[in-house]
Parts: sequence; C-alpha cells; structure tokens
Amino acid sequence: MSNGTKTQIRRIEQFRDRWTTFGANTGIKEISERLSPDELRKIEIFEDYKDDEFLKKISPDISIATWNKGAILFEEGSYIDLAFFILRGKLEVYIEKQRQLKAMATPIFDPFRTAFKPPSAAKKDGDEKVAAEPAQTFFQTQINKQLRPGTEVTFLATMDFDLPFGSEKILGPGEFFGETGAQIGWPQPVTVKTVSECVLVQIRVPALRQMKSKSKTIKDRVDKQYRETSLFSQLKNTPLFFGCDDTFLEALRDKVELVSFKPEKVIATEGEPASALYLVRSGFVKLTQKLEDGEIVVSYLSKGMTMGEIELLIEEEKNWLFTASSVEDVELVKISKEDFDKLIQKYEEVETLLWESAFSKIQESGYSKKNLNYSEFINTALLEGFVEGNSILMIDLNVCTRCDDCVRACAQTHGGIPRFVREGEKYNNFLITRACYHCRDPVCLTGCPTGAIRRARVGDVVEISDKLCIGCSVCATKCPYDAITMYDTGEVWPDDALPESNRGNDRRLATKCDLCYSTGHEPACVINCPHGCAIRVGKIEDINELISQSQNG
Amino acid sequence: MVASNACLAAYIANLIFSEVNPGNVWGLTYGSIATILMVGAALYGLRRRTMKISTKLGLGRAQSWVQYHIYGGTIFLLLVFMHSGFSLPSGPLNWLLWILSIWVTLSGIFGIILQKWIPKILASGLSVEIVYERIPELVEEMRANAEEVIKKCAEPLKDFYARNIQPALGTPKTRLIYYVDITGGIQTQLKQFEYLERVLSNEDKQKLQSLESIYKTKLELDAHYTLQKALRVWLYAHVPLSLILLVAVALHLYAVYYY
Amino acid sequence: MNRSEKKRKKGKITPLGLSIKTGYVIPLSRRWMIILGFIGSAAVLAYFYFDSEFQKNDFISAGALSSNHADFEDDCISCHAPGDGVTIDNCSSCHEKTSDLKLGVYSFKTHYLYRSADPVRISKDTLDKYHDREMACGTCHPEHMGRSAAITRVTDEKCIQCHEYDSFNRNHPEFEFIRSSTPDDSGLVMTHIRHTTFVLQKLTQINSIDSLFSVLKKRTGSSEHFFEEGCLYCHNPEPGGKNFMNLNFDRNCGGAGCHLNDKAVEGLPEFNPGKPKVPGVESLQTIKRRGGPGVVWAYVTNPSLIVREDGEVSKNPVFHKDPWILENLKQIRKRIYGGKGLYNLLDARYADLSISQARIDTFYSSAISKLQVYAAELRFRPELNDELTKITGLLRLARRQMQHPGLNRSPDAFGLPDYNKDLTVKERERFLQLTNDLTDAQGPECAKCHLVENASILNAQADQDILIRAEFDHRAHVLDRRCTECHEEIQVSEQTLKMAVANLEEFKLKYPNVFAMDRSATQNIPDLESCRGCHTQEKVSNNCIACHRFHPNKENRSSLSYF
Repeated sequence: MSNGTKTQIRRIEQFRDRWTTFGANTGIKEISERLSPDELRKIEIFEDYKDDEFLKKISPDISIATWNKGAILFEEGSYIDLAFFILRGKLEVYIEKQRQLKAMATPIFDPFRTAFKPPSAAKKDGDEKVAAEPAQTFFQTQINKQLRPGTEVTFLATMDFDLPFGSEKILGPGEFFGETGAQIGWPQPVTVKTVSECVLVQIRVPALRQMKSKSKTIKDRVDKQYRETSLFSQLKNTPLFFGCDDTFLEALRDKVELVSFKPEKVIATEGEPASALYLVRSGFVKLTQKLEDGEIVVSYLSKGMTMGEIELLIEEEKNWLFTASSVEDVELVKISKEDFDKLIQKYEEVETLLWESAFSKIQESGYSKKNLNYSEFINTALLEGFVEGNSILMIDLNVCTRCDDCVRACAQTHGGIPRFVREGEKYNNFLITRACYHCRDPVCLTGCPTGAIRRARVGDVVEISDKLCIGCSVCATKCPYDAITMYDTGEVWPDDALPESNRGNDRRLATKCDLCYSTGHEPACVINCPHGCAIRVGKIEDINELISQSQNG
Repeated sequence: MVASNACLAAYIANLIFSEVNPGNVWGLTYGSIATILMVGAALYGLRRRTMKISTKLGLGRAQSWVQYHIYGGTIFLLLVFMHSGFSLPSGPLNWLLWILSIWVTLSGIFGIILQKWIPKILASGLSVEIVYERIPELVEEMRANAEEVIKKCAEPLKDFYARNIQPALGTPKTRLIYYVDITGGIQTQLKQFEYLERVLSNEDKQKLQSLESIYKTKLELDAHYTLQKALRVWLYAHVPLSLILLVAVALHLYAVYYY
Repeated sequence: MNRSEKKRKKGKITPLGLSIKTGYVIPLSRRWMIILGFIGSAAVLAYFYFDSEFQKNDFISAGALSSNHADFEDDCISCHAPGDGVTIDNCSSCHEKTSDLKLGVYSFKTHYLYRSADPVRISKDTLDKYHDREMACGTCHPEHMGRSAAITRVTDEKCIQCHEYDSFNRNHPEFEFIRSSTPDDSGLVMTHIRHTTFVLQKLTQINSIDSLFSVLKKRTGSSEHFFEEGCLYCHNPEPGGKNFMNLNFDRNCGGAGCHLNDKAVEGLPEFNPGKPKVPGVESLQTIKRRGGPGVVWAYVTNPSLIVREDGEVSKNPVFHKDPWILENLKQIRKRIYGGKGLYNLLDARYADLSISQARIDTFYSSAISKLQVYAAELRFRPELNDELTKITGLLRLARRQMQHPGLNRSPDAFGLPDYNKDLTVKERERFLQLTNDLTDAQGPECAKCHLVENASILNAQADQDILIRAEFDHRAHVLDRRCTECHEEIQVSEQTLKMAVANLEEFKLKYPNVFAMDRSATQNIPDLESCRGCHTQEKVSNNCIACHRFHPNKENRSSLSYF
C-alpha cells in the first residue's frame, strides 16, 4: 500500500473522528465524505470563498449530514462546537426544560413575573442546584450521573434564539443557527429537533472562525443575527433592566453600539464626565479608584454586568466614579448618554425601575475606597483568574501535608499521568494550583486548529480530545494560568499522521485537567485528599469566603 | 474519643466482674476488635494505592478514611493493652506484637503532630510554596540566575557572593533551625547585605538586591526541603513496621487458632 | 512593594519568577516504604519458619513454660494438638494414664469426684457448657506464664467463673452440715464431760475433783481449757496431724483398760477362745490375729458402708467394726430380709426394699464393682495379698451368684465363722437374745454404749472429714488454739462440770441444751462465720484453694478411701 493511499485513509479516519466525537447522537443517518472546494461552493454560505486553498484548509471541519426524522440535534444546556446550515428539511426549536433548570434566562420567560427583584437575588436564581429539581429530563440525568449531587452548575444561556418560553419555532432551508453558542462556548438555551429528514451542513468552530475572518458577509450575518436575537435577550437578561417593558428594550436594542477593547485599555477614566452606559458582552473589566497616590481595584465587571447607570441617573454623580479598564479582550455594548436620556424620557416608568436597580447596585457592591482587603482580593482575583474559573483547585496550605495524594489520584485516574502540577502562586494560605480553571470564557478554545479542545457537552468542563489533538501547543500558550501541559507520550507521530509536518516527530499532546469528566465522578484530587484541603471553587464569593475563613482560623 | 472512653469504661466494668487476660472471653473480644480496627486502619493504605478503583466505586472520601485511620488506630492500641490486661507480654512473638503496636501507633501519632504543625509553619512563615521534588532543580536555576547577575559587577560584591552566597546556593540543605525558626534566622543573615549596600554603586545595589531576594528564596526553599522531608520521612517509620505488624498479627492469629 | 501590583507572569512562579515545570511532576515513588515493609515481614516469616523447622519453635510461643513442664519447652505438639489446642487427652497422657498411685495427685478421677457430685454449686451457664464435656486443663492452669509461674496456684477468679460466689468472705455458702443441721451421729452413748473428768483423774492420780480442777487450772491458766488433755487421751492425732485417728475399741475403749473386763467402768466380758460357746467381746487384735478370709476385708473395707447417693456409689469409712458385730448383723439381716443375695454385705439403711429386684441387682453389681476397685487398690500392700486373692474370688462368686441366683453356695463362702453350728440350744438362745437386743435401741447390752438404728449399729465415730468439698488440717490450727476455742459448744463452768460428774441425771435435766453428750453436736464444728474471724482478705489466706482442691493427693483424699 502506497504512502499516499495510507494518508488518504488516515485523512478519512481523521475526518470521521471529528464527526463521531460530536456527542452520542444516533440521529445521523448518513455523513458525507470530506467535501471538495467545488462541492463546498455549491452551498450558499460558501459561495463567497473563491480561494481553493482556503476551502481545502477548512474542509475537514465541514460535513453534510443527513439526520433522521425526529432526531435531537442538541438539547438545552448542552455545549456544541458546531454551527448548522439547513439545506433540506425542517427543524423544530423549542424550550422544554428551561423553567425546570431555572437557567439565568428563566425570569424573562416567566410571564407572571412582575414584581421587582433586586439583582443579587436574581443572580442567585441562576445558580440553582440541579439535583434539587423534581423533573428529571434526559439532560439532567446525564448531568447527575456525572456530577455529585449538590454541585452547583451555572447555566448561562446564549441567545441564539429569542424564543419565549413554551413556544416553538420552525426552521427551514437556508437558515443558519448555533454559531453564537459554538463560538463563545456557552451552552445552548434551546432544544433542536428535526421535524422531517434533514440535510444539514455542519461547520465546526475552527472553520467557522476562519470563515468569519475571511468573509465580511458571514461576519455581518453573524453580527446581524446577534443583534437581532441575542442582544435583545441579553439586554433583557441584564439585571439592570429586569422588569423593563419589551418595547423599551427593543428601542434600546436599535440604539446600541457594539464596541470591543484590547487588553489593558482604559474604557472610562475616573473623574471624567460619564458619557455612556456599558454592558459587558464578554471579557472582564477592572474597576479602579484613586487612593492617595496610587489606585486600588474596587471591583470588576463580567458578562452581563453594567456600568454607568449611576452616573447617568444620579445628577450629583455626573463623572465616572472609577476608572474602568479591560483586563483582556473585552466586548461591550455601549449605549450613549443621549440615547439613554431620550429613552428614559420616552419610557418614564422605566426610570423608576432603573433607579431602584441602580440604588440597590450601589448598596450591593458598595463602590468604596474603604475596604482595602477586598480590593486586594479583587485585584488578585483578576490577576490569578479567580473571576474566570468555574472550578479552581485550591489547596489549604495550613492543612496540606504535601502528601501528593491529589496528584497521585489524578495520575491513577488518568492512566498514570497526572493532569496538573501541584505548584503555583500562593495566595494567603492557599495554593492556586496549575489545574485547569475551566474558565467561563476559555481563551484556550479560540486558537485550536482542530477543535480538539472544547467544552464537554454538559457542565463547564473543558476537555481535550486525544484523537484530535495534533500537539500544536496553541492552547498551552494561550492559557494564562499554565494549566495546559504539553505531555510527551513517548511515542512518535505515525507516518500517516496529519498534519504532515508532525510525522516522525515526538508525539506530544496538550493535556490538562478534565474534572474527571471522562471517568464520571467527582474530581479525584478532591475525593482523595486525606485532609480535605484540596478544594474546588467556582465562584469568587466562595473564594473570598474561603480565604477569610482561613484567616480567621 | 467517645469510643476510647467507652472502651476504657468497658474495661473497668470488666475488671469488677472478672479478670481480663488474652485467654478469656473478654480478652478475646478485645483482641478481635483490635484486629478488626487494625485491618480497617491498614485498609487506608490499600485505598491510597488503589485510588482509581476506590474513587470509581465511590468508597468515600479519603478524609473520612484518614479520620478512621487515626481514631481506629489509637483505639487499636488501647484495645491491645486491654487485650493483654495491661500487663507485659510473654513470648518473643507477643513481645514483637506489643512493641510493634506501640511503635506503629506512636509513630502514627507523631506523624499527626508533624502533619498538624509543619503545614502551619510552612504556610504562615514562607512566601513561596514549592513542590518537594522540584527543589533541587529550582535551586539550580537560582544559582544560574545568581551567576548571571554576578557576572559583571564590582569586586566587593563578587567577593561577597563567593564568600556568603555561593556556598548557600549549592544544594538544598537540611537545617534543623527551621524546626525552631521557620525564617531560618534570616534577619541576622540579611544584616550582611545591609552593610555591604553602603559601599556599592547604584547599579550594584540593584544587583545586590536581586541577590538578596534569591538568597531569601533559597532559605525558604531550604525550609521547604527540611520540613517537607520530615513529612515524608516519618512515614518510613510508620508504614513498613505497620506492614510487619500485620504479618505478625496474622502469625499470632495462626498461633492462637492453630495451637 | 505592594504585592497586589505584581503582574502575573506566564510560565513563572514565585515572586522571584522561577520557571514553572513544563512537564508534570510525578510524585516520588514510595515503593521503598512498601518494599521495606515486605522485607521486614518476610524476615519475620522466615525467622518463624527457621525457628519452627530448625530451632526450638519458641518464636510463636506465648512465653516460657512453668518449671513443671519446662522439659517440653521445645516440643509444642506434646501438648498442643494442631487445630485443636491443648486437649485433655494430651494432658492425661501423662497425668492419667501413668499409674495414679505415684502421680495420682494429678489424677482426673479425683477431679471428677468433686465435680460430678454437685451440680447445684455451679452456675447454670457452666453446667450447660460443660454438661457433656470436660473443661480444658488450661482453663484453670494456664501455661506459658513464665518459668517460675505456679500453675497449680489457681486464683479465685478462675473458680468464680463457674461457681457463683464472690469470695470466701462474700456469698460463700455455710457448711452444709451446719445448714442442714444434721445431727452429728457419733453412734456412742457417752458423756464427754464425765469421760474427760475420769480420764483426767486417771492421768493425774487425783481423785478429788476439787483438787483436780485447781491443779489443772494452775497448769493451764484457764478453767475452760483445762481438760484439753482429756480430749487428747482418746482423740489421738494422726501421724500427719491433719485429722485425729478414728476411735478404736481396743485402743480407746477396751484396750486402755476401761471397758474390757473392768468391772469399775461397765466393762464387757471378753471372748474367751477357750470357751468359744460363751458370748463375749473379742478385741480387734484378737480378730486380726485369728485371721481368716474376709476378716481383713471386713476390717479394711467394711462394705456395709457402701452408700448410694444420686446414682453414685461411694463408701464411708469406719474403722471400728469387728467381725463379731458383723456376724450379728448378718444374722439379724438374714432374719429381716431372708437369705437373698448380698444381704450380709450391704447396709440395710440405704437399700430401698420397696424397689424392684432388678434395681437392687444393679445396685449390688455396682457395689461389687466398687469393691473390686478397692480390692485392686490394696494390691500394693504385700501383706494383704493372700487375703486379696480370697476377696477377689469372693467378689467373683458374688457376681456369679447374682447372675445365677439358683447356684448352690457353700455356707462359708464368705469366710465367716458359722457360730450357730456348734452352739447348744441354750447358747443359741443367749446368742439370739443378744442379737435381738441389738435391734432394740433400749437394749441393755450393746445399747449401753452403741446407738442402734434400723438394725444397724451406728458408726462409733462419724467421718472427721465432715467437710465434703474442702480440706481441713488440724495441725495448722492447733498450734495456738485450744480445742474448745473452736469446738466451743461445751461451754460449761467448773460448777456445772462438778455437777455433771456428781450427778449426771440432775445435770441432764438442768442443762438439756448444753448436754454435752452423744447425739448432740459432739464435734461442735464451728460455723463458717467463725472461720472468717481469721480467714479474711487482710489476715489469713482466704482464697479458694486454701481449703478446696480439685486434685487432692492420696493421703488427703479424705472422702475417697481409707486404710
């Protein structure tokens, strides 16, 4: 057998791997071979791309799948790394479990919700314990199997579909969906099921990203879709606007401007007049205040949080109370002061709501210069990525006997090789280990050429597929927390390996903590800590409490 | 605590009724319970070595096992004494058992004390946290850094480095002083740096400062090295002998039931 | 420097910026810990193997054996049966199967004697547990307690595991004879006070009672104890001093010159071999000297005192019993019971006449077995060998007789003289009268001294070992104790004594309760409480084995056999 044929077979296998790793669905009747550039260009969305080489490059991540009638593409709460384009057939989009899961979006869909609820309480709604829910759906049982009862799971829904609760929507040929969730790596808010036999073009994230950067049409399409569907939901989902009338929000939606900042750029400066209301789409914003000669961090903003409402609403505070700067790549929704004022005047009843909301926010977060401890903590949290992590492995060094049982346990559950290094920065009495944080917004996902690193279908787990990883170490370089380790398997890439440049080289793979998702139990490091000092924490409040508890003995 | 008190109470109540010796019902009961406790405590060692399976089977958290290991082990010794009626053993095997039981339990208790005490001083007194296995290579790296710093600088500093710093950066050192003072008497040692600082140029002062921080960190690494070593070494006093104890108990059971 | 200002550096750790580990840190193996453990364990096992194969195998030994068994130190399986512990069989291979005459002190038989007789004193649990099997020796005699351990020193704790008593001073039951207030059947009609006085008069050659008392008082310093010497005149200690010798007509009554041919003190006519047809009392010496089959046997074993209790046959000792009396009794019994079986061998008191012949036969046959055992026990006395041959023959004959009732037997099958044969009618009448008298408690001749009950003369002296489960040694007690300090029921003053000597009838009437005469508590055994005066935790030893023994040695097996 010639080398070329072998490579071809390998290519086909690798191509299949990419598609078979997509979930455990059995609904696919048929999946196409890898498509040639010509074949691709026959499809509407690829018409723009004239470059054969480009299409060849992305073609492993594109396939045409024929789905059976009544098959479920994905369910609410699951992660997908695909966008779908419908060639033939009809699909049904609906929300079944949204209410049961009490995901963050729930209050919006609740038609009976009228009373004002402070943001803090609303925020807690999003963190309901899954296990406490009575109705067990397929999705929930899947989760329950994998997570210890009582584990808090946060479902942040992306708004690919702006769909009222209980209603449904039919999608037909020519429609493009799933791309927002796939791109941002957030769970789907809806379930999609085929009504008839469907032929879908499936595009995986790596291809999607490249397509977006290459073609303005696609970018516009995506942005437009975001504005039309997601933005409205996101606005509605913003604590500040809880309870506001839909007409107001629609009006607001049309006025907004989408802005983005590079890391460490100043968005607003303390003392300067406030000119806009900002809503964070993604990334983190650091809020600092001047104190004596220096400045201290007082708070941070993450997705869904707003700034500027105090300055815009309260007459006495016309200037920014703090300096806001981006910690990383930040995308914001900007509403200018003028637009905001106009809207407020138009919708007077909204003003009261906003007032109350803003007031409680002041009480809640207390933009204060007094609490230096908290400030230091917030600063560290931003530096060390506490704000990002869904599950950070921290070790209480006051108790830890350095027995390394956590590492041993990890190694034993992962075929003899540990998946984290028990070293890292020491914060107070805690060691922040170099175990994957399972970030809310995982930057490691963005550069992966094969999509080997991805969200596991449920939960917040970020996993790396051994089959797909080609050892390019992009994710390892991107991870700010050194949590991804290039592990030398001791093997050599085979002759038919792809990409070809790998052949004959040492087979190094990106590896990291998968929260024992693959083995289906609570993280082994935590279970096997003999002194209970290995702790997984996912919320910044919890970390703060943990540390203050430890300090107070 | 409750259990050990209960055991003692049982024993005292027992003394009122009848004599306790290894041969009678009471002695045998205590002996059996002690054996069960010991095997249970030993199972923790097994669990540590089969973490994959135990985790998968959901055999409980290691912490609970350790709790059992500690309390079970302590009560074990108490029961051993009760088993022998608080008298000295007779016969070589029984002496061996007696000594091993005491040794294993006491070394365990010693370990608990170490495990409670050392992490506290490591966490409170030191600014870095280091994996024990990495200490040699980090020391190596620090020495390389220091050599880099010292390459181009004035003679007094070079001299000072050669005399005072270089020897310290050689290898990880075990210094008993860390048991008493976790800083390893750093304040007095830094005095030398202060004095030298007066005579150096600004550029060299900066170099001295980075040397100083390397030196400080090295001392901390030594502290980690010394104390983490203690945390590891005590196990050698505990685990091998506890294995021997297991075998000796098996032999004891064989001797008792076979003969 | 403000720590919070530190920028996180990728790939670096610690404020110093040391590089991170690029690979994973595999924790150091602790294999050596386990390997060391295994090596140590293997060493222990290897030593064990080596020790058991090539050495003394004392590694797993629970300790040194006591000096008694030290010789077996290297030989585990001489005692330990693998899988079965130390079995009784292994103990008995030395302690039972070897003749128990020399090692008899350890014999299990003696153990059974106490054990089997009395289930009531054992806790129910123990009874349930051991009703069908023997207790392992080690239960009471734990070994491996060191070379100098005294394995025969059984502690009280061992005893009270089965016996529901706390200690001698707590919950110990009262002596049985005190509890049941059984009269102490001395079987003699005599007055201790008068006997003592006469004896003392005889010893001191002082006839006047007044001066006798004053002399004795001077000598002993106490009016209560002055007649102790009188006690000892008749009650002679045994050579060991544990008990007193049984009363003997020759020695104590007739041979001393009082009751044989002495007119002064109601002497009996002595049998005259020259005039054999005239009834009289033969001294035991004469009988022994005359010899003849059955004489020794009767003298030694006295089968009339084989008794049956709770299905067990045992024998009480009485020495003072002569063939003459036996012959008389034989005649009497013959008259009462007819000429059946071993009527002349067995005491009618215990033979339940209403029961079936089969049961009587069973009883007889067990009695014969017992006698055969006794006979066998006499084998070591060469001087009795001839006699024993005859006895053995007799017993065989008796057994055959029982098995074949119709078998003809010779008149002197039992070797006793047939007095009837040569008597004249008058003599026969006299003889019959004499024997008739024996059946009447008020009869003038025998009953003057002997008490008769159910056609049997009662024992002249009851068993001194009245403690059936414990041992009592007089020697240990008489050193600083007067007889009457313990046997204190004879509490009489000088005044009453004088009265008793002068006028016995008046004394009897006046002091019916302290009437120190036979058929009252002549031995005056003190009760348990009086023992506790000295035997307490703080004073004299009060542990179980101070009085009780499971394996009494031959000499001290008072309840077992007498010679």
